[in-house]
Amino acid sequence: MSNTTKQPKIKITLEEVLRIKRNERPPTEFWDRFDRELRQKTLRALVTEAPWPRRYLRPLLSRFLIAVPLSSVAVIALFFLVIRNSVNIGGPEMPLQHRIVTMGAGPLESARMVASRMESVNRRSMSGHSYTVEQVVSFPGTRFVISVIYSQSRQEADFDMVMTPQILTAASDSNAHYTANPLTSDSPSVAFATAPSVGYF
Amino acid sequence: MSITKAVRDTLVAGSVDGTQAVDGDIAFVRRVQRGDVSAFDHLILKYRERLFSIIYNLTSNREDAADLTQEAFIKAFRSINRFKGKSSFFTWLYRIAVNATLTHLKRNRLRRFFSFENINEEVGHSEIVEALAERTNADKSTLLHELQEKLNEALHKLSLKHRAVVVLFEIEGLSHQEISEVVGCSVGTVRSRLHYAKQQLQAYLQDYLD
Repeated sequence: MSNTTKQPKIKITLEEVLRIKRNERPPTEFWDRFDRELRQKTLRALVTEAPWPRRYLRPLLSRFLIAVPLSSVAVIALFFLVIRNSVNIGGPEMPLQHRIVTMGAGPLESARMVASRMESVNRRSMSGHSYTVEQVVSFPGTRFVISVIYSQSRQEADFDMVMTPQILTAASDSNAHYTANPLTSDSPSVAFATAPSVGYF
Repeated sequence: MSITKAVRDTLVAGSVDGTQAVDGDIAFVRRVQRGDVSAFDHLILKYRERLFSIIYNLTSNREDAADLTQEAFIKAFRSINRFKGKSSFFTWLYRIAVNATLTHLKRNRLRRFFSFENINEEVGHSEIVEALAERTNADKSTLLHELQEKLNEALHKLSLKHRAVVVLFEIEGLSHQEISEVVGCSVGTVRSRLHYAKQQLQAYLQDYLD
């Protein structure tokens, strides 16, 4: 009797029952993992695949380098050195959009090369296995390095990556790839591929 | 007259709030478009739970929902330069998420694996759950678990377009207008889909309903 007088009967509607689903929520730790994964996926999404000739030439060239005499390697190395040095990042003779340097080298080396080419570097520091370029004054329209991607797959080295002289922390890990904000699509940029071994671009 | 004025005041107040919210999003979107990537983190933080909830309720699978939510954010990030602000950011984002989810569900039509989130324990104290437990003479936690399964089964018996409308309206609380923008159909179509879907759900869940 007391039960019947205590509570008015509640009408159970479909809407009320469906609203129960609003309470199905993941635990807070889920979001930590979610954010971490999303960050990695976003960075990977920014990376563009290298053109197919480069992908196919890379293994051929690697074999070629092993097979040919040392003198040939020296000639090739000299050739690429000339090519590499002929690209002027800040040079006034090239339109901004075409100032793209693609380099295959360990990230540490790339960072050094990029840094050495940047006249506007304010401060550089090297500590242990990492090389850090900080407070680099960016010229108008440059892109910003937003993070470093670590990859176990050698395949993933076949990427073009875009970076700018904003803040670059270059790891010594040869599987580190650098990526940048792609949203400023009309920006001039410096691109380099952090290929694990041979620098031939 | 006074009623008209009150309605107008309410609408104006509502539009101010709405405008502020939209303006807030737009400001962040503009920052991202100018290259400030960190501004996108703010948008992720603001919408990740709601986006996950929509996708989870469409898929009933937490792993798929997590992947698809991430995919939706990445798509939004990559195409944010194309966002001109003609609609609100959240309807644009929801549209990306719903489209990605529907594509995923169509591709995996035969694969049906549910993995549920836990229901917040607080819901056990709600009047509706009390009433359901009393009616079915069941333990609350058992009831909630069973109900969760039944609800998901019932939702999955609906076609994708009907499920999307029910989820967006009844669970996520979007208006008909907002749903029409997200789903890409007229408000009238939204209403008719909702009406039909609710009829279907009533039939599937009649054991629980008055």
